[in-house]
Amino acid sequence: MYDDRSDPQTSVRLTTRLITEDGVRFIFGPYSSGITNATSAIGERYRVITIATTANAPDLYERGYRYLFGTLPLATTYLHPVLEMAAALPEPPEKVAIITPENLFAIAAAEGARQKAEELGLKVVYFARYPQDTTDVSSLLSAIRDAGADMLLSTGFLQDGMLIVRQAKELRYNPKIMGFTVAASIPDFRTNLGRDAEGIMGGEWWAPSMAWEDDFFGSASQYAEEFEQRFGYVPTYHAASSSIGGYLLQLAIERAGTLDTEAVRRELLALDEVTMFGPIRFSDKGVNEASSAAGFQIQDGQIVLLWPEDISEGSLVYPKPGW
Amino acid sequence: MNGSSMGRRGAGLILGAVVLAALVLPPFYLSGYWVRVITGLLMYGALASAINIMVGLAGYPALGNIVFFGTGAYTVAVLMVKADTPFFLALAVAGVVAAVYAALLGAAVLRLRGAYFSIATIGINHATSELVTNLDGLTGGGRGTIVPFFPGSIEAERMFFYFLMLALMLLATGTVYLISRNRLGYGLRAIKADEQAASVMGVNTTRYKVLAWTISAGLTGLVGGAYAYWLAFLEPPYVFDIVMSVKVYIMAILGGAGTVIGPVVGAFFLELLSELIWGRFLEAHMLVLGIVVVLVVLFVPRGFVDLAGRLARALAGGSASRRAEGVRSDG
Repeated sequence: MYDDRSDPQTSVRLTTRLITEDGVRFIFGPYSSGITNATSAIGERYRVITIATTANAPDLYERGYRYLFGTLPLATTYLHPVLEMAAALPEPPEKVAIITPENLFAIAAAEGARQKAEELGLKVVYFARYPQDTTDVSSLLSAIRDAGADMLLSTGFLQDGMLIVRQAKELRYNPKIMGFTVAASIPDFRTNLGRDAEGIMGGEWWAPSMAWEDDFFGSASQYAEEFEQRFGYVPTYHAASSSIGGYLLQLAIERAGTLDTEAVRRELLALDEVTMFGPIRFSDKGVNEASSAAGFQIQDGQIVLLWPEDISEGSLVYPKPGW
Repeated sequence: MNGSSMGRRGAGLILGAVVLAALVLPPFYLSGYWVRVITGLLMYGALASAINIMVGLAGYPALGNIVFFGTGAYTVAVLMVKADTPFFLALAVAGVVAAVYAALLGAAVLRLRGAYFSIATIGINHATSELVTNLDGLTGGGRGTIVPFFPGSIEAERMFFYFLMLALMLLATGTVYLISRNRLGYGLRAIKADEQAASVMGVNTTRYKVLAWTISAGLTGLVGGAYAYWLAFLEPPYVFDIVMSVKVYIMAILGGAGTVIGPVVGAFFLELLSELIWGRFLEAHMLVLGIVVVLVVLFVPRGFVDLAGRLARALAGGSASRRAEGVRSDG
């Protein structure tokens, strides 16, 4: 295990080190789709299996790689539950705005959302990318307000999400629905924004309250409890996805009865499991195609799962409370 | 006197042979990881030598010089992906594109001096990065772009990039050597010492500065192009990375700006140290990098090469000291 400092050059070097110095045959990939793009290319050349637990941009899996497996569903589906919830409302929002930072993963999620919105008959009136690490989105938000959007979706990261909420409040822009990807599910989002986070919706790959379970970890909530005891904080999907990646590799190796890469690869492709992370089945491209995101809303400072309906823990507050 | 110079020539030949062996042999004996590490050292050596032409010779702190690295990288990526251009042709074009870019910019930006020039180059880097991000039909934008794999075996690939970076480093240091010994080098040194005086003395300062920047950018662009093929995946923040630019700048200063071999020494020292020691600690590597910068500025402002020279003179004393002075002043 090495730290790549989220730097692609370092990450690639360390991946080479794992393979050529340490003789590793299976690698758990780095954080972020962009860097995984670079490291999995090395794994592919050396025929070493990469289990990517936090990289799900579709481009990664469209390169015809044989040795890359991703535990998360594709990023494109991240905001689908929010859009499905919106479309199912008796008076759905009329105009949707989608904004994304210039980032492989975020753009994939935003484009997936645009496509889904159009399929559901929701009109996308505004779609824009903004530079990563931006510190001002007020002009974007003004344009969105002027376009008359009453549903705002953003696929940015934690800082972007907080910035958008703060500046939307300053501008007194009150969409009926505000939905985020990673930002809203990170606990800091709710603690930092306090009551401004109320009513914000999001997509979520995994939460401790989900009803999934398996023989190894037990239920999702049992996993979360054990994790918190061991590491001192409540796990997010990143942790659960990574734990499941390890579990799946173990299953595949046990079933193959060997560490031979080709045999383990065949077993990974044959897996069809229900785990505490949800159902898992890899497509030929290495994508987990069995699972999907859930939809939630922040209510009283808590994440309340609302979609799909069979796991719903409450009812949607719509429109979102004003600032 | 004659005997001593022959002795020195003999020692020089032996030293040269040792250095050559040390540069050529590694990929035949080391593991993939170490070959990759050393290929990285060579790349930084080339970049530090390229920036040295501006920083060391002309005294212009081109802090945002990484813009030409990114320009070169994207030129190769776009040509290979969109036009199926063979790598070496794409690489040559990358060098030319970066050089022309610098020549065009230089006419305007090189009117600025010192910190103002430095800030302008940082701004240019940022603007170019945004431009590349927004030309997403061509460059893939923020999603990045996948550069075709090197077609050969893993071993062949390892050798290829090692010797490619080695060649680029030798090209860059060789260029610095040549410049420092001809008219352009003297002109640049005059500009560094006192630009106004140089101008009065008849040095065409604008032409010299633009020429220096063009050469520096061309070399940096070549290295960027090679990097694109090596990494096989690009995103604008990876190659228009200001932290990397500052690192290269520090390498040049650390080793000895204005000397021929200094920047390479600085690059090897800083990268190797980073790889062996502080790169293994989370977060702390930036802290240590900062401390190194402060220590260098305080204690070795003229770099390692100068320090080594002074140490050698202090040890030898007397006549050796005078001789070293003589060697230094004509070199």
